[in-house]
Amino acid sequence: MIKNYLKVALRRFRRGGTHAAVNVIGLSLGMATCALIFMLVHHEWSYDRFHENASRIHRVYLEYVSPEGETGYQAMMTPDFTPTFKSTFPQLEGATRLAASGRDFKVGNQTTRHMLAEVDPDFFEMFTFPVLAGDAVASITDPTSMVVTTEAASALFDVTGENWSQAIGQTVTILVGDEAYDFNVGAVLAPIPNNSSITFDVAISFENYDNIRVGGNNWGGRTSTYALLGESVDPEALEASFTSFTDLEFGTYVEDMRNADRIADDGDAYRLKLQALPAMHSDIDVWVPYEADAHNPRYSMILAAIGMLILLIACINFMTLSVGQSTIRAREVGVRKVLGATQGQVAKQHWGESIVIAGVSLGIGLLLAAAATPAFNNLTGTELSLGQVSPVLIIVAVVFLTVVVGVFAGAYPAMILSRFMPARVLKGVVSSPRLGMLTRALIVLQFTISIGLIASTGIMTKQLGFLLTTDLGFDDDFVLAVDTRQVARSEADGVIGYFRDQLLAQEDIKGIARAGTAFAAYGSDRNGWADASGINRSAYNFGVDEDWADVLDMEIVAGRNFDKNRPSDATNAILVNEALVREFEIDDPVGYVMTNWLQWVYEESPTIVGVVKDFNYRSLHEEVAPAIMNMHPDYYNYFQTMLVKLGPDDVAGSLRKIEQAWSEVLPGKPFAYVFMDDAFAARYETEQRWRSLVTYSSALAIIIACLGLFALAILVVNRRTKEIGIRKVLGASVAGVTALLSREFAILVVIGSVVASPLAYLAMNSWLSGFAFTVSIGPWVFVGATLVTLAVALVTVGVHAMRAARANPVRALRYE
Amino acid sequence: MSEDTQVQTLGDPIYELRGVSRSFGSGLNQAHVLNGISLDIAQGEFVSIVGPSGSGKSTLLNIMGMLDAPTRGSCYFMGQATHELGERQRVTIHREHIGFVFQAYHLIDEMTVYENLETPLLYRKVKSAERKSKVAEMLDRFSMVAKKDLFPEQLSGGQKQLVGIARALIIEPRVILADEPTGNLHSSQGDKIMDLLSGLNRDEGVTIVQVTHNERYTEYGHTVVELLDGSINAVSQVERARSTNPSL
Repeated sequence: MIKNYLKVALRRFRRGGTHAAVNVIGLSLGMATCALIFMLVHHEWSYDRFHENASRIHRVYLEYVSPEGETGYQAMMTPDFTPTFKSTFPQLEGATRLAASGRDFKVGNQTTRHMLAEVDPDFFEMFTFPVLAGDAVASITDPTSMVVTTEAASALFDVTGENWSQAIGQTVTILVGDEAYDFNVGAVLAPIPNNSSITFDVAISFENYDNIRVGGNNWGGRTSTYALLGESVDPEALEASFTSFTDLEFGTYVEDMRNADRIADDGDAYRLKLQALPAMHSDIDVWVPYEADAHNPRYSMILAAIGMLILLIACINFMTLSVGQSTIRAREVGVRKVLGATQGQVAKQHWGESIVIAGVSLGIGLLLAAAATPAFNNLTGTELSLGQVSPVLIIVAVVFLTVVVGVFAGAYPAMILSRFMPARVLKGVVSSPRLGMLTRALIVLQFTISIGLIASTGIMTKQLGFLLTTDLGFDDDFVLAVDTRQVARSEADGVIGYFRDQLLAQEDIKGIARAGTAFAAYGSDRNGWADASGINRSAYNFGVDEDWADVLDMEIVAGRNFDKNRPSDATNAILVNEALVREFEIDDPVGYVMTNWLQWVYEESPTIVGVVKDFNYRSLHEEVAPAIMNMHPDYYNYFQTMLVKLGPDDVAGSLRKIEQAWSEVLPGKPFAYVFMDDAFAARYETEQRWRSLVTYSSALAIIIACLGLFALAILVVNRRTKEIGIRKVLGASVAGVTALLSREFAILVVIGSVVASPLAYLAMNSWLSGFAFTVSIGPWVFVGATLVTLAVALVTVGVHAMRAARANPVRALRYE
Repeated sequence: MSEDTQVQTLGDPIYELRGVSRSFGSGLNQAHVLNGISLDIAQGEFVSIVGPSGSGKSTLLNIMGMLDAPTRGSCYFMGQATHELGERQRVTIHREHIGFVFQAYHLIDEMTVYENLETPLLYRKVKSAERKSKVAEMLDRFSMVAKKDLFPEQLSGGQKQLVGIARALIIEPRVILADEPTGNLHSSQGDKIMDLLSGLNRDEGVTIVQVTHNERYTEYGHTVVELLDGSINAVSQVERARSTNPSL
């Protein structure tokens, strides 16, 4: 019986021509989209699950409630915390600290920068990072030994492939300012998987933390803490036993936080918690400085929804075409029933057919997905492949999708056709040549999705254009930000002086400034100051020099810039921005003395000498926050960046000159730079990716929807052949007939637009609410999306309608 | 073969219709297609239903074939009230006792002649070997062995109807319901089909009920039921004036 069904299905498929092709192309595209999105969603989901002990490893963090009742999280512990924690609770099989940041590594004369992690000996016993050569646990136990990944090993020693063991025993020097520390390589690790939250190139013992401070700041070190629970330990029961330990360990910290009004007075307002490792990547509330950024699971859900919508459009094609062809199929159903088929058998046959088509489409879709993977990776900024997904999961997903899509797409023919009364269909009672209500509703749904996606694309494009072109309050065009973090503090003034001497004489170098950060590049820093009423508020700190405002074309709206001729400016003068004046409620800023909340670099409280017009130093997601510019020589971000303003004519030539000067004054140190405008654009990388994703999705949606429309138009036009013939005989023009046939579809597109516009408006409003500065959503974007869709739909239908309208009416009528 | 032997083959009634009415629509739009039809058809009988367009011939045939149900009255098939049958029982009767022949042949276009003949047996869950031999026997009997791998569109109208009859016959039914079996055929092809049907009736005792427009072909049956506006206008017995060709 199955053979019989299959044969019929295959033969129909072969003869089906346009319809079969549309079904398979549409479903394949939909399936390919779903496969790619599945890959991405799976990647985010798979984070940290590759560790054998994943379910037993927990991150330790403090949860607290603010006086306003908001819950806050703190996963940064003092370096002393972890050893005490481990020795207090015998339920723990292991615990490790983790701190990491970029450091300079020197082998011979060559210095390269790598991510350095400092961890405890338990680290490599808890986590699953395969060792290719040497002994990782032993290396971490020895404070003078280091563990390197293959990537770092090839960069440091030029070893590859089978020769990893050649790296063992080699000496590497870690440079920290003016100091240098030697280490021997003790183990080489396989590359860290791309779905690991913990990433590093080199790992050393945490015992080095005092000398080689990674990720700390002036107030002391902070580390992440991971604990390995014993086999049968219940994390919730363990958490419950933390109470007295927490009071003891965090008493002072909590007291400080309460004094600063950050934690509520309630005794239960803070507690120590455990979070299973696999849950970490989707938890965006807990800040992680040393691990990969958490991923908002909402994005995965939105993506999955977009994939499903595209697949839905393809499924609708399948349904509407089934409805369109039902008169043909109905006869077969009638015959089979007369020959003794039950309704159930007929339904099964049709479902079988649609499942086979879904399966074939999925196969093609997977091939398409594999072919499109590099482009998709490029689009999403990932390096994924279907090979990373476990084969079992792929098989489960394939079977699931095939059955779900098959059952869904085949629902109409299986459930409605199988109910047809043979007496009617066999007598040739042909349904009306117009589209039925169900078909209309389904087409409206397709165009609702398409128009919604197109309108969203339009709004996202407009917002991004606004973000990238809006006036930031300063001029970042042709400003190069050179990374100078490897310059020792003692050399800073000499180095900047050398660059000034060498480069400022050049015509194409317009200016040079020393800076702590370049805003978007190389991090930021803030601390607390008292406002006019003495309340603690935070402000961003920027280390600058006298040329900084000129190089970035900042406008001083009150007072004056830093002055080279006043040496005291370095130690007791500051510039502030307008936002600070506003939020700190300072009436007369110039000459106002600012009070540092905690003891900072200033011995005496500094005086405001000038106010800088507000400039957007963060992304436009946020309002401009208060900022303070200082020139203090003890400021730890004194010289992290050198800003160089270039002339527009010969950027490559200017770059060569700067690199030349660099290699003269800092031989062997890596020359790293970004253009400030690129760095700012990178802040909107997520938005740009989303825009691209939505653009491609909407293109796919409209292509698949119009494929269906094209096939449906053929059906409808064929059914109306006689009517067209009669109309032409009665004197209708080609244009008139074409319009008549197209009108029906045009109405559906317009209805789709009416439904889609408010939905897209709501969705985009929610997206825009993530920005402090936004464009307005006008009606034109919806009108535009509707017109685009209408144009594509009318061309699709019109081509066929015109052909039918031009045909000789005699031929059309002869067959009746 | 004498008329007497024919009469002897007529057995118990296979169909008993009692006051069968069928209407479509409701209210003002209600159309009464059949009005209180009462009719007995004996096993082995050959009945022709005639009447002008719209007189309810096809509806009557559909009710007898259980493809439609009367709005009032009852139809008994082999003593069972058809309106009391569930889908399962109705399907079983279709699989085992009733063969349908249509004016438009209604072969499945995507199937070869062989597969079209095989399909009813598949629904009857006949074993593969038996299926093969039955299909082969039918192909042989209707001289279509050479055409077994052709698709319906490659056959002439008469050939298609031969396949249609062979398909109805392959389950060895008690009754064949034929709705204008010759309606789309040239007269020579039509004659051949009618000869075939009357041969089946005469030689194998298959009950045949046909709807026809063609007066010439009413003579092939024993009984002519004439419908007019949904009621039986006349029932007449055919005189065996015309000899039929027993060979196919």
